[in-house]
Amino acid sequence: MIPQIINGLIFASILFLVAAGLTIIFGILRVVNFSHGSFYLLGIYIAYSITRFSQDPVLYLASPFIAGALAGAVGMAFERGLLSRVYGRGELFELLLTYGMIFVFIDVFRIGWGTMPISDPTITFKLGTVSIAGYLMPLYNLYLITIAAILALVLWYLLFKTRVGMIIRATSFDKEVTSSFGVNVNRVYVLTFFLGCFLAGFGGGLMLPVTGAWIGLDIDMLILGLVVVVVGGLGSIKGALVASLLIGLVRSFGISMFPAIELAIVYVIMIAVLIVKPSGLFGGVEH
Amino acid sequence: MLKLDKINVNIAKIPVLRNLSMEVDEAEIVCIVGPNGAGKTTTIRSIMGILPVISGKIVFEGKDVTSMKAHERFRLGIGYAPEDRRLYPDFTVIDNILFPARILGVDEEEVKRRVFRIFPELKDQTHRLAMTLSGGQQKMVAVARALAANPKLVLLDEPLEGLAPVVRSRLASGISELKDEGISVLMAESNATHIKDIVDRIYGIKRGEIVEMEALT
Amino acid sequence: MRDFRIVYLAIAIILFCIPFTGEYPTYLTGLALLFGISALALNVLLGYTGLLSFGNALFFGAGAYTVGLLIKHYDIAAIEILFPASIATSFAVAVAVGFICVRHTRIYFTMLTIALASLFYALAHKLRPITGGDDGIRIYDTYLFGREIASVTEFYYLILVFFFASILVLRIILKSPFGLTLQAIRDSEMRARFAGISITKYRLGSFIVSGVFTGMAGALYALFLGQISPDDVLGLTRSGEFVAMTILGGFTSFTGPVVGAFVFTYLKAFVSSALIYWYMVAGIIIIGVVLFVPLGIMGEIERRLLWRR
Repeated sequence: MIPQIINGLIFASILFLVAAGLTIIFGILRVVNFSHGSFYLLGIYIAYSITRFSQDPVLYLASPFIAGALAGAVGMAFERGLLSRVYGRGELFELLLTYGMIFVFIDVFRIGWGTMPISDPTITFKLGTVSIAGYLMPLYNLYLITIAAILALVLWYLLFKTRVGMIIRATSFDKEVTSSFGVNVNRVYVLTFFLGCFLAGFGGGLMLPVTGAWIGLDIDMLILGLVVVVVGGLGSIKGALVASLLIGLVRSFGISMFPAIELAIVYVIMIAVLIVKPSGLFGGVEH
Repeated sequence: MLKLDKINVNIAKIPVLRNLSMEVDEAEIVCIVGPNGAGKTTTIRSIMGILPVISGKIVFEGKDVTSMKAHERFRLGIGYAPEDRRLYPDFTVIDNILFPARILGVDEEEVKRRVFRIFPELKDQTHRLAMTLSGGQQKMVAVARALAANPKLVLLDEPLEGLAPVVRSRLASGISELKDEGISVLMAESNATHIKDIVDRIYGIKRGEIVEMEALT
Repeated sequence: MRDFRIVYLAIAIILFCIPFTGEYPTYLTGLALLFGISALALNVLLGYTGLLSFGNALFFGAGAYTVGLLIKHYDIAAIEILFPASIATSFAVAVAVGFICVRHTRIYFTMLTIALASLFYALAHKLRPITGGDDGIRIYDTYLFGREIASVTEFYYLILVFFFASILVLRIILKSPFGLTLQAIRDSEMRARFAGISITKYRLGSFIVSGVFTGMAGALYALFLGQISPDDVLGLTRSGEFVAMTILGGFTSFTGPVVGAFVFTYLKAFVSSALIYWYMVAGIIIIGVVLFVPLGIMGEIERRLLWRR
């Protein structure tokens, strides 16, 4: 039981980081960022490059933050340089633009980091293991879960207890009215894209020691992120959290019990949720 | 203080306002009256900077604001209460009202004093969620929110529409009090009967053009 | 109208003559024809119903895997059985999936199509004993009414017949009261609802039309290539290519998706043979079309023709 729970929580942590970014970006820009999985993958690659400089554990632990910040910066550049040019032309074009980015990223990855999968579990070995109820666990895995949980709390605090969060929430309710109360909505867009891509890149950076990276992981992660967002309800952070835990744990137990159809179980859960509650567990936004 | 000079506004390429000119003076209450679809809301939204004008000029306090964005015009002192209230449903009443004040960084206590002097009935509702209020209370919150950042001009889009008579006259007298504070008001209504007593001037509007009041009936 | 007919006739003659230019152009054009129908079918949803499906590979894969599985497990090699069977499965899949999807519109619809296509992808991928997993299924020795169809040219003509028949049928469907109603719903859902139209039913109908034609194209694709795998026929990239083709050619034009499919398929073949960075090129094309030619090739041409008159 314990290993499945820990693995499920790791998976849930990453899903949450990815899905929270997707759902925040959707809440503000009403765009589902199809290149979100690519930002996740970018995070892993950046973390990999950073940790080439030295084997210092501190650098390993800091790398997800740097990877997140850089992924966020790339996201900002994408939003300002490309995406903002098609605002108001309908979601088809916004969606396609983010879809086109997936392919640009694929070749950027191939040029920058080659076509072979990369991995580097050094930090896992350096941190060693701990024993939980008789099971030996890499300490890094617990670190990952803890840091993701802390980030979830920080995110909640940011959105619900700060002035910036108030502005973000107001903008997601009503852009027009919010802009007439002095908010420069374009800045909120940039900030949101940074935040969303930071979360994806950060999640990627955390996973370098666990899974590494390969081309194709971008689309896998995008699809799982979409499933979490659909199950949780589009635009709902709470929904993203609950759905990540649900899907993370289900998948983890699925892998150990029904390895042949573990991924299918995830989709079946999604279909079941949608038949019972079409807008997702915590969703209200369906226009 | 506000001057529209022959503005033309299109929505989805269809002309909605045609060579529309009007003026609002200091501490004056002006109302645009016209049937649905005449262009009242469009006028107000163009002044706020939500809709772009194709040609013509909008001058506020001697400054040409025609090419300014909504958030920039807000900073010059324009407050706005949109049609259908459009409160933030998950925010409390007080968070709704103070939102513009917090953006501008003005003293919250001062804002509360002013707003509750005009709308004392909102005083015990401050911590309810906006979506749980009645329609009349929501209208008051919307007007109160438009006042929060100490504007010199407030734009009220059909503030009295669809209210019960008692609430309507309360809100109307609230609006007329603004004048005493030196605030100019530009409001839109489809019916002139309820606002006759409080307004200084009325513009008739029909098919996007200013018309004589007689032409409306 | 008259000059257009001449253009169409010329294109038909060129398509007919393609096999005389060699095996590779024939192969490439065969693919373009199949993708053309798939993109056209996608556009029944996108252009005519206003629903963006990013999961149409699901039908393509359903058609392809019907052929593959029947051959692999039941040794059925008769195209006259395989093809109708593919129609039946893609119809069934479209009904089941459509039932879940058409209750949603816009982005929700799009995400659901992705997720449901992913479900089938995951199954094809993981149920190795049945589907062959990653390796997919090899298909050889297929017969049409007892005659073995083996050469690229023979398959090409089979595809060409299917292509013209599909264009004709889709054209009729879209001009029929059914097709016109779809467009009315697309333009104003509210007005259609007031007119008493059952929107969900029409959307489901559109979904089924889209699914069946894509499924048939998928079945022929399996026969033509002789090899299918989950990534090739069921992946998100396959669905995305249909969308990219449609946008490139122009979703506001009937012929746009076919033109897009041709341009995309040839371009992909040429670029990937000359340069290893096809993905970058594809991405830039998609982004460029969105930014600069949102109406696509045919949409832009039609706009200019209208403007000139």
